[in-house]
Amino acid sequence: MVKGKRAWKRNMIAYAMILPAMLLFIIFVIVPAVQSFVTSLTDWNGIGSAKFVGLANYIDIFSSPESRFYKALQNNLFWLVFGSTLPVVLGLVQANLLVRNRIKYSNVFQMIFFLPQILSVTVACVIWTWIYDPISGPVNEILRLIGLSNLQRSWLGDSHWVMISLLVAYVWLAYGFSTVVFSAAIQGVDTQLYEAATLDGCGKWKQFRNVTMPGIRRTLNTVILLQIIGSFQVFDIVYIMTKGGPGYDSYVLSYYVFSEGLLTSRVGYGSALSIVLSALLFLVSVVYTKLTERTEL
Amino acid sequence: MWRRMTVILLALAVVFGLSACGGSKGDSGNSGDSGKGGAAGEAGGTGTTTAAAAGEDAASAGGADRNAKIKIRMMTHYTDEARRNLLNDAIAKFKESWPNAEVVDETTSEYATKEKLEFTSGDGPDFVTVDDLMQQTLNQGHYLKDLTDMVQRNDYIGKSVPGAVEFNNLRTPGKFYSIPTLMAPVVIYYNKDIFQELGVTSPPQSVEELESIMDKAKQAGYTPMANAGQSNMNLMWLAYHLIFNNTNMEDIRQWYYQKSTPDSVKKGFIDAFAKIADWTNKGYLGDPKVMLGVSYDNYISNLYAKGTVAMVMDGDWNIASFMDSGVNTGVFAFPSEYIVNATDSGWALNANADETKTAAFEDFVNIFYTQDMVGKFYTAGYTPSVKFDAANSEAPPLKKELQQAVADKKLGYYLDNAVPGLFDSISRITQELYAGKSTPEQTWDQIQAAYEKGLTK
Repeated sequence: MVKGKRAWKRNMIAYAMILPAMLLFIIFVIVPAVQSFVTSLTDWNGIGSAKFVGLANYIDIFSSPESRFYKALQNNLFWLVFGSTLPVVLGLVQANLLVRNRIKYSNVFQMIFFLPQILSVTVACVIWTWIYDPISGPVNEILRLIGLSNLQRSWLGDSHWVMISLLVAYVWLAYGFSTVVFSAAIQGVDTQLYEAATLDGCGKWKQFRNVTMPGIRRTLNTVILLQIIGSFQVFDIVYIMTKGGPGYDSYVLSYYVFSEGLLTSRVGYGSALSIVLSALLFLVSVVYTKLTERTEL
Repeated sequence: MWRRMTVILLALAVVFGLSACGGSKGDSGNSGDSGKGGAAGEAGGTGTTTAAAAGEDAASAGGADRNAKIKIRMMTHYTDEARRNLLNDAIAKFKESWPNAEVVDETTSEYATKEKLEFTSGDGPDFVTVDDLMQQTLNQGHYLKDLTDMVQRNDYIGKSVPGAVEFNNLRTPGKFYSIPTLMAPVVIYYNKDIFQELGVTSPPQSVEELESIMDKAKQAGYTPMANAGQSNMNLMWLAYHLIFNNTNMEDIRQWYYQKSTPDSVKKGFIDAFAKIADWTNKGYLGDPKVMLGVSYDNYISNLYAKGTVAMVMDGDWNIASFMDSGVNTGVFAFPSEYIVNATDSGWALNANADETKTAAFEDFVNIFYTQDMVGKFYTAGYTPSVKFDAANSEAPPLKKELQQAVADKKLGYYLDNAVPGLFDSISRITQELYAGKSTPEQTWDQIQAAYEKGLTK
């Protein structure tokens, strides 16, 4: 007991320092999360009174024939696999080229690659929607001009191509961030390691594999984790470009939450969906973190 | 002790948060049952060529201090440039008699969602435009002021085309919570040159004649009827017209006003979807694979303007785009007794508005009932619900043609406005029908399931 009291007294200043941030965290994160969970146990429509329905919303999500949960989850998993890896791979390759190959004006190139990141997502998505227009969009127009008319598609209207088309727009927006982060990380790797590797006769590829990759492992893990989180949070691209269509072919979980919670005024059901989405995201993040920790050991 | 205090603080934060969650205001107030579905439905069309002109000096609430310094927040659905300019004109006119009023226009394309969020958070705008469904939704929380006295005092019903004012308020029979000033008819715009080439000299008088024209256009190598499939609205409106054509309107009203789902409505929907599936298979509605990627925002300039489309179903709000397309365009109404034509929302007032703001609202709405303002909307291509003598107006010929086309048509519903969220559901469910992924019966089942999810409890 005395020991505990001494610890509190010693650390009072530290606790006082973090208290404002903790309060903000509690008020703007914990409380809304708890509110959301409580709302998910009701049939509230956002305006009238709320009736407690227990776990009915959750049962509906997983078992109702009208539920779009599995379709949305399928699309999110597609996004998870490709949306987490492609920006990372492209960013890593580019960063390595820029930093290790001592390309002139690499800072300018970094800035150019980062530009999509600073563009408004809305503006970028509107532009991509025009690019993909099946009648007069540049993609189909270029294909026609180079004699590949048979490759023309309705990029956002064809159920086989819509997710790929959205993914291309997403990768274009996201890989600049990876490039900049990896560039900084690679620059932080001790150059003497590369010199030693060169003396040992290692070529570029072996240096990348045995020096660069281990050196930036923590950064790589963080960037992949951020991309994983981003793949579950994707909403703006889908909302602006396809609204989840055609049909439900590009439906994602976050759009499902929006649709049910705000458009259909099923706030209780929407809250339950958001809780499920959060739980999924938490699970995936924990699994990934455990895997990477095990690899490091 | 510090530990105990920290725990108490945390617990208080949680309790405070929980006590604020859940329902807001009381149970449903004025929503739901509307037994008087007949008035607007039987109304005689949207023609604005009747002789009675709206009064210039409509009475407003007396005794109001028009020099009062007030701030009015406004949120509307007037997102297109033409209507924004007209709204700014109205605001300028309003400020002539309310010089110290500050009007903040918060119009946004997501106005429906924003209005709901702001009202439920206790910070709703003062003046809003609401459609009949949004009105019902907001009335559940008693967020809108009862304007019945205002409507009667200013005789808005007498000054409007028959059934217009009642139409927006049919979910609250006997009471008025909004005052519409515009209609939103959906018509068929057609390429006159293509029609001439096909030997079609007059608009079709039946669905069979319409189908025959589409067949001729298809044989001649044109797209008979285009559909901007990304939102699928053109196809949805076509479906609604087919439903009006084959279903008793009184039964449709039962469904629309959330009272019941008669078997005739189910059959009407399925038959309409079967017709659409048939026309799609025949190529009358374009190639779904291409059309599903076409955006409504630019299909007129990207597709219709190329001159390869014979017809397209769209609203009067796009008339300027059709006029600017470079295509020799005409317009006719769908060959049925009822057409998709509802009041294009109505002006409503925050229930918390005090006397001064209520008086300001009355003066503001009266501006939209002046002949000058009605004429401006008409010339810009819109369809006022206010009676207006259009004989000497400077409206373009296409506009006059549109007014003539809808003059003797009865008001029908945007069926996707029956319950919240139904528009989004019908849009994507009919996309699947269009793509051949679902049958008419499956399409109906999914729509009905979405409808039942959105029913007001």
